[in-house]
Amino acid sequence: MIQPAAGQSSAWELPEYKERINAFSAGIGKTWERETYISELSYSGLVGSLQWDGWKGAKPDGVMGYGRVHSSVLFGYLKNQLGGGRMLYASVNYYYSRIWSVVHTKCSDLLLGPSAMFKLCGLYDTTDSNNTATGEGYLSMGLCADYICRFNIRNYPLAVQLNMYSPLLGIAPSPNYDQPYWFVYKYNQYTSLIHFAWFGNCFALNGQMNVICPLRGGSIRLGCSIDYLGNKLGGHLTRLMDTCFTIGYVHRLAKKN
Amino acid sequence: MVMKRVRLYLASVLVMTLMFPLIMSCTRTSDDDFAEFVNTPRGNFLALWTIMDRHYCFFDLKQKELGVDWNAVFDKYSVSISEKMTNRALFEVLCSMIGELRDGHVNLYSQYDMGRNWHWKTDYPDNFSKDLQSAYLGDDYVVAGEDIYYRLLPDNIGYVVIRSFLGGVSDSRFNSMFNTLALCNGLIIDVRDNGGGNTMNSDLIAAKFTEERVLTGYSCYKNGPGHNDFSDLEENWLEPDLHNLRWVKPVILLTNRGCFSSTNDFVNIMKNLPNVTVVGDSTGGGGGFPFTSELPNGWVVRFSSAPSFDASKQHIEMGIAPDIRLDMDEEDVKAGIDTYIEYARNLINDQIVNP
Repeated sequence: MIQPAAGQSSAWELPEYKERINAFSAGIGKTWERETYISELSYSGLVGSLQWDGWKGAKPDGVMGYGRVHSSVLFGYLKNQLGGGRMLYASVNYYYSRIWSVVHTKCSDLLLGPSAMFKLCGLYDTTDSNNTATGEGYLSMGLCADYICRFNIRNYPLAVQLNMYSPLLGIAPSPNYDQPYWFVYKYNQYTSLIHFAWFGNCFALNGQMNVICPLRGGSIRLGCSIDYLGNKLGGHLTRLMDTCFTIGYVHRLAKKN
Repeated sequence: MVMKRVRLYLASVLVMTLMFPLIMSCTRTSDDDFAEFVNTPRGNFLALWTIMDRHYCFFDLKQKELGVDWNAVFDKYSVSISEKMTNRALFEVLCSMIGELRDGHVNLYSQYDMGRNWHWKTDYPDNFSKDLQSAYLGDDYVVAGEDIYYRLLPDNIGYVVIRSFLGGVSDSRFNSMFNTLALCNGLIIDVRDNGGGNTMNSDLIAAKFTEERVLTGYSCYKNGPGHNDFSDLEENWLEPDLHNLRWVKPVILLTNRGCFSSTNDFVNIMKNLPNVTVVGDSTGGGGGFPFTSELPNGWVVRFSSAPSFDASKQHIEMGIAPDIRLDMDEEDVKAGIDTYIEYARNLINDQIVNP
C-alpha cells in the first residue's frame, strides 16, 4: 500500500528560500489542429508529451517572488476525418514566471505573476505539395496563475495543483496567406513572418491540473494538461490544441546553504 | 482591509484569465471566412470553388486571355450538382470547372484519377519527336545528371538534352561537359517536352551560362483572398555561377508547348542572356508556383498561387514566345530529320561564318 513519507503532513508545500522542486511527467493524449495554410480540413490524432515543471523558493523578504518554469515537448500524429490525409506535429514550449503568493492558508495557496512564454509548433503534411509544412510560434509576455489545494483522505495527504499560463502580448512568427517558404528564403523575407500579437488576435493557453500523492522520498503526480494556440495571423487560420493525461514524479531538492 | 481588496482584485484577474477559453469559443462565430464545408456534393463543390476563388492567382489574366469569369463558372456548374450524384460524377463536374482555367498547375486528385486540363499543350503541334531526339543522341551519349544527356554532333556542335528539372544538378558533371565541349562552335540545348521539376535546379543550370548578374523577372504571391491581393513584386536576378565553369559561346535553346513550369522559368531566364537564342514554339506556360489544399471528401486540389513575370513585368503563365518561331516539317520527320536541331545547327554554323 502506498504510504506517505514518515512525518509528512502535507503533499505539497511551496519551496523555501534556495529550495527547488522539480516535477517530470510523461503524457499521452489527443491533438486537434486546423491550419488553413496547409489544408482547409481539420485533423486530429494522438499526441505524446514530456513535461518539466520547476519551482524555486522566494527570498525571505518575498520581493522577488517564486521562480516558476514549465517546459514541454509534444509529438503528434494526425489524420483528417476521412483518414486520407496525414500530418506530423511537434511543439516545444517554455514558460518562465515570477509568481507571488496572493492567498496563503494552511489548505491552499494562490500565486499570480507575470510570465514570459516561448512556443514553437511545426506541422508537416505528408501530402506531396509545395506548402507541405508550416511553423507557428509565439514569444510573449503574459500571466501565470498557480493554485494549490492541500487536503487529506483519511490520513493520506494529497494536493491538487492548478496552473495556467495565458500570454497577452508578444510576437508570433507565421507565414503569410499563400507565401511560399522558398520565397522567404530567396528574398530574405524573414521579417515578414513576424507578426505583432496580443490576446485579441493570437490566443494561447496552457493549463494543467495535477494531483500530487506523496511517496517515500518523493511524490508522484497524476494530471492532465491542455495546450492551445489559435490565431488568424497572416490571413490564415491556425488552431492547435493538445490535451494529455500525464504521470510523473516530483522531486524536492535539498536547500543549498 | 486594503489587502483584502487587493486579493479580491487579483482573484478577479484570475477568474478573467480562466474565462479566456470561453471568450475565445464565442469568437469562433467570427470565423466565417474559415468556416469548414460539409462533405456533401454541394459542400465539396462550394469548397473547391471557394478555395480557388480565394487562392488562385491568375483570375484577371485568364479573364483577359480566355474570357474566364469565375462567378459565371460557379453558375454554370452549380446547376450540375445534386445531392444524389455519384462521386465519379462529382469528380467529372469539378474537374470540368477547374479545367476552365486551362492551367497545368490546377489539378484535382482523387482516389481514382487526377483531374487536369492540358489543352495548353495538346491544342498545339507537338513539334517534337522523342524517337528523333533519341536518334540524334545515339547510344554513346554522356549522362550529365538526372535526365540530362549530351553528345558532340559531327559538325562540332554540342547537343544537350534536358528532359526534366527534377533531379539535382551536378557541378562536376557540368564542368566535365563544358570541358569536353570547350572547342565546340556552340551548344544546342533541347528542353522540348520538359514538363518542369524544381525551379532551383533550372536556376542553377541557367547560372552556368552568364558572366554577369542579369535581371530575369519578378515574382509575388497571393497575400489575401481578393483576386488582386498580391505581395510586392520581388526582382529575380540571375547570379553567375562563379565557382564553376561557365559557357559563353552561342547557345540555341529549343522549345515547344511541352515546356512547362520550371522549364518555362528556365526559358524565361535564358532568354535574357545575350548568347542565347530561343528557337521553336512558344512554351506551354505554368508561370504560377502551386499550392495545395483539400476538399471535405479528402480530394486534394492544386492551384497556382504565386505568379512569375518576365523582365518587362509581363505574365509568363500563358507561355514565352521564342526569338525565332519554327515548326517541325512533316517531310523532315518522315526522313528522320529533326527540323529544330538542323535549323539550330545551321544557325550556329552561320554565326561562325557571319559572327
